[in-house]
Amino acid sequence: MSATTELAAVRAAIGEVEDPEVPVTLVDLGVVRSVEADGEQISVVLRPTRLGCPARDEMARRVREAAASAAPGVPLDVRWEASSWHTGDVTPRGSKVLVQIGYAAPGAGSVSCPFCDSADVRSAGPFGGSVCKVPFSCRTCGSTFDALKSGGTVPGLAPRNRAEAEDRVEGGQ
Amino acid sequence: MNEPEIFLRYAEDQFLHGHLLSSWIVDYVDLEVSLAVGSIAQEELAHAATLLGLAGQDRTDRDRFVYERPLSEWWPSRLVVADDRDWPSTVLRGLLVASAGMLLSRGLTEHSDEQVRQATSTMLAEQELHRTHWTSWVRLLGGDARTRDDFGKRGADLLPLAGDLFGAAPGMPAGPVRRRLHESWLAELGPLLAAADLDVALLGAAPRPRVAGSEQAQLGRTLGTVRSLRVGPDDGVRAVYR
Repeated sequence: MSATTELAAVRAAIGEVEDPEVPVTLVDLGVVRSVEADGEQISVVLRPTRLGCPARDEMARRVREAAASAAPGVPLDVRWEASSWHTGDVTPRGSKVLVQIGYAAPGAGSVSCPFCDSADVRSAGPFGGSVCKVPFSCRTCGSTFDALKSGGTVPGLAPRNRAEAEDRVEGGQ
Repeated sequence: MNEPEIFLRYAEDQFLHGHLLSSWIVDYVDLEVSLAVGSIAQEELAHAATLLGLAGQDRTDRDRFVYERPLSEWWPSRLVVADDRDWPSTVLRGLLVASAGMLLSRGLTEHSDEQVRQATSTMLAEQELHRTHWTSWVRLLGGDARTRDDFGKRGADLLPLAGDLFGAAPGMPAGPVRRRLHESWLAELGPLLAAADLDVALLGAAPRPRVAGSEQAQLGRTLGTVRSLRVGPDDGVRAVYR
């Protein structure tokens, strides 16, 4: 294989790698930032959704495994950058999949229910079952769901719900 | 400031704080509290690893830093060595560490090195969420007649220990930057602490020097617990998960 072909093969293979927790590819999630030829090696740069994401090792392992299967023997450098990941890093396809599997649409101005699209949702506090998630429930259909944190902020709430969420935090949530 | 030194000391503080908080994950009290404190603990440990990376350490170095370094080479703040795990102390310690961390991170977000800028900007954003959480709790515990007195007593014990968060280890330059950071910290925390009837003056007018880990008996006990997982056949816990 030529270097160009190898790079294309590695990009295609890494493009199929899914996040260990949600069935979305790391490319669509915005975790894979670049896959580039760097001399004789291929360099992959990843960005964690949160610095404390516990799945980083597994993600890197999957990326290495995919690259090795596409271009055996090609040296690979996988590096994590300590940058802020934002929900705007999710591709439109990734966003669509996230909503389909029950997450709030990432990057939207305010949080709405992924099941019934209602904006009448309730925040259950700024911390969830994973460091990257924030729990919500829907008053209209009763579903519970998660939204993804973006940078250092919790996902936006519609104005009518924001004051209530702040009250809940003040209340010791 | 001597930046590698700052990164190392700050990493020690973040690691020990994350370790103290982690007990709330298994000592179940309330689901929301466990989720919040668990998340913050996880992020403190990640911040420690990030800071060690900025200080030039790789994965192996980081492992040695925590598991193999003698106590005489540790210089953590007394605040994160004190093993007061009751809730009022946990809340106050969380606020003090998060607010000090934000000031340190903010001061490095204009750094000439892009890697330092990116990492500290990310940590700053995450610490802001932590500070918001602890601030809510400080208002709650300091504002309620049922908890205010106890919170005040815990604060009187804990605040003097936090006076070295911007302090230098002996032999390291104290420098005007540390003093300015400390003063900014006092100004920022003053109104919130006063509203909870806590005396910000207990933090000291200037940063206090740090002392070696070998002079802080509790650190030996804490690290003994941490390191006990590495003792045993074939290197303890590493044999199980290898």
